[in-house]
Amino acid sequence: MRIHYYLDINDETNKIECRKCGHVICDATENYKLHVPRAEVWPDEIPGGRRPPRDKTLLIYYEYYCPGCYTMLDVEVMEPGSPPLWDIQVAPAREA
Amino acid sequence: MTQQTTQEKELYTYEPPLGGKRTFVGGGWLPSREELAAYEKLSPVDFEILSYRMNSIANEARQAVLRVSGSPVVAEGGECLFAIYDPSGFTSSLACGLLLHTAGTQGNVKEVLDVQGVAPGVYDGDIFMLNEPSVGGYHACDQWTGTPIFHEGELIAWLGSLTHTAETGAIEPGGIAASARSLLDEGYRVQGIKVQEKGQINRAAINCLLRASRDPAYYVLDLRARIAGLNVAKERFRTLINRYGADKVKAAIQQNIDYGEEMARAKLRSLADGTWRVLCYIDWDVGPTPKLIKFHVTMTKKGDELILDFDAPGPNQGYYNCYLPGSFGLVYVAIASQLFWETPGNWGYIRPIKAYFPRNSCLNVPYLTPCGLCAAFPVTEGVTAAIAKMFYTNQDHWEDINAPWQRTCTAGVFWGGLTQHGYPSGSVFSESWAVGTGAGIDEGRGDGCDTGGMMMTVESCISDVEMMELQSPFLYLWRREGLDTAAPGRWRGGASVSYGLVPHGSPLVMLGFTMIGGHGDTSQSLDGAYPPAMESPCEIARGTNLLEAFRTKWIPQGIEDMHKLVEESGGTIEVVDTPRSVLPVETDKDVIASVFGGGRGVGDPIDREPERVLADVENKITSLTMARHVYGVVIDPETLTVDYKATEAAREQIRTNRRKRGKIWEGSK
Repeated sequence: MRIHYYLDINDETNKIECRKCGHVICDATENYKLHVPRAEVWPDEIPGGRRPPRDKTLLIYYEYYCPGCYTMLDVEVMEPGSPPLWDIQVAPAREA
Repeated sequence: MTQQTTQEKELYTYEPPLGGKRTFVGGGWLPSREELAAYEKLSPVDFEILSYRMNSIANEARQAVLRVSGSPVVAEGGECLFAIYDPSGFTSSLACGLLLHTAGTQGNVKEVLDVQGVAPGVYDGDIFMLNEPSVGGYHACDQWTGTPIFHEGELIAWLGSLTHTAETGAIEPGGIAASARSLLDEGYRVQGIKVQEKGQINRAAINCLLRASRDPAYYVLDLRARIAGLNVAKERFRTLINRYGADKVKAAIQQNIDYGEEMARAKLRSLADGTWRVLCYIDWDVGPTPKLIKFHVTMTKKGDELILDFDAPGPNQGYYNCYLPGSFGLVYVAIASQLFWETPGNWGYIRPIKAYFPRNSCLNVPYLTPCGLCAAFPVTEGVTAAIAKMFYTNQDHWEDINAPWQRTCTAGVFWGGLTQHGYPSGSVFSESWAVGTGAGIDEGRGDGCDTGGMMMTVESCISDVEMMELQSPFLYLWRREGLDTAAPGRWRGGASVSYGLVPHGSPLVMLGFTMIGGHGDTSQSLDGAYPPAMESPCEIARGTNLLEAFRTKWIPQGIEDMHKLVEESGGTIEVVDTPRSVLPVETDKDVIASVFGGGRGVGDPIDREPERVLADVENKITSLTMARHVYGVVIDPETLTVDYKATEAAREQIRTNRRKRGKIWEGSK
């Protein structure tokens, strides 16, 4: 079952997998963001367009990448130091 | 942040008036809920004909309102709604410009019946008016008129029309006063007075309204437009009864609601169960310094029900607040446009939704809290994102996946004063209605629509420049799609508008600003896309020699040109990055410029085809800098061609940087 632009839940294994490279990330009952690299990025590191300067910004970006192909899976806009948000918590198809 | 459990929060619901009991209300009987529920189901053919006819009546009446009103917000912005309700006020058919009032106007019918139903009574030919935010709508600008329909001694339906009428006689012109610290500061609020009694216009009541507004001309146009819409719909409704009989019409009203519910529940059943969470923000309350206000949206779908559980901090001191009808309305902007867009807009598709708002929060404020600018705008964004995430679980809905649109109204500018024709007026500039929509995915719309429209007012249309210049004391220097405003992604968001104005031909022009988002990127894209550029601070260039520039046949064509003008003429730039009370501006010298943030994107920007990035560069949607450093696409600035080898290397370098910087979150160990 697809749960994201780049992520599926494998109905056989009940694991979350990358749709691009097939990397198995974690069990479907877990927050995938706890199992993928994340980088803290200041908004003004993104060139083009108006972004808040780092001495004034209230929020920063947390980028999450697939550990296999380093496709960017999410860009959270969060207060500095925030834990990963469990944004997708889909009941596995066999339990639904 | 409130610490209330879901059960402690307030569930949005609608209790029928007068206890749902059979009651004599002056002009006839209000049936009980049991009587209404026991309708005889129509044949499929009769139901199709009658539900379609009622929908047509609502749409025709709304068109009448749009055509009679000359107000730019209504006539061009489309901020107008028309509804047919059942006798208790449950919405059955809806013609919607303002999605946020899909649910929010039923409270007005309830208020009329509860307060006036038994005495002095509700009669055929009465037209009631309400604009009380704690009852319906979200702020005092949301002005509703409604009329009952009786047939042979029975109240069988209500008709209602709502417009956004800008001038409410608040402490500042334009109806959305940044300096308001109480609901009492936000202008007159009408509690169900009869502007028409038994078919006769009540001039005394209408004079009370006109004499409370700075802009009686536009005000009376809107009021007359709403009355015109009611008259059109009433006439059509009578024709419908004469042709098909009252029993079938009454049954169709109820069956339409039940049909809406069936469709909504079936769609929910087609999706996987689960929970989706989104964080969204605003960045200001009052004062010169920013303040982060955080909203949690938790959406749980189980079977054929959807539970929306919101967390939000306490009421703000300023006008970023919402009473329950407004918050629920903003939830329904997302529900109506994203989840149940194919379902008849009525109470039926509200039944499967349970929305819980924390008590005494900025989404559910105590009475007399100011609410001019809705705190729930981010909530629309959060619910839209949650729905998009849920849609991935069924391939049938992939084409409907839609990232949040630009929030709108957050870099808005209002004006008040005298027109160039010498009469008092005030309104909002219409660029809010031309902001970028959210992106879809491969199977759907792909990129967001550039300057596509306002999410809460889906039929909105940016005003024609010549019309704006005719109606208000301003000249446009430029208006175009803003460079790099769209969220960069595999599918990018829609670009939003950039515009520059100079006041002209009036001795008195004042501006107010609703600016938020100037201190942080307060919005999120989906699935690896970056947020859009933040709302620009509005800029006011003061004391320029603009007329001298005109004489040399040079007209500033963007913010950079405006800065050059200031440099050359010795003026100053004032940056407005928080909401601002009205302030005077000087005609032919001061220039006002604003750039809205864009729609949200979907997917990793380095997955976007180089050819699409090149096209965006050619169309001035994306800069060469963003193309190179965010999309990893190397374009020759002279020939405007893609260097594919360099692009491949640039994208590999971006991946390498990600490998270096990315670390598993330590808290998970």
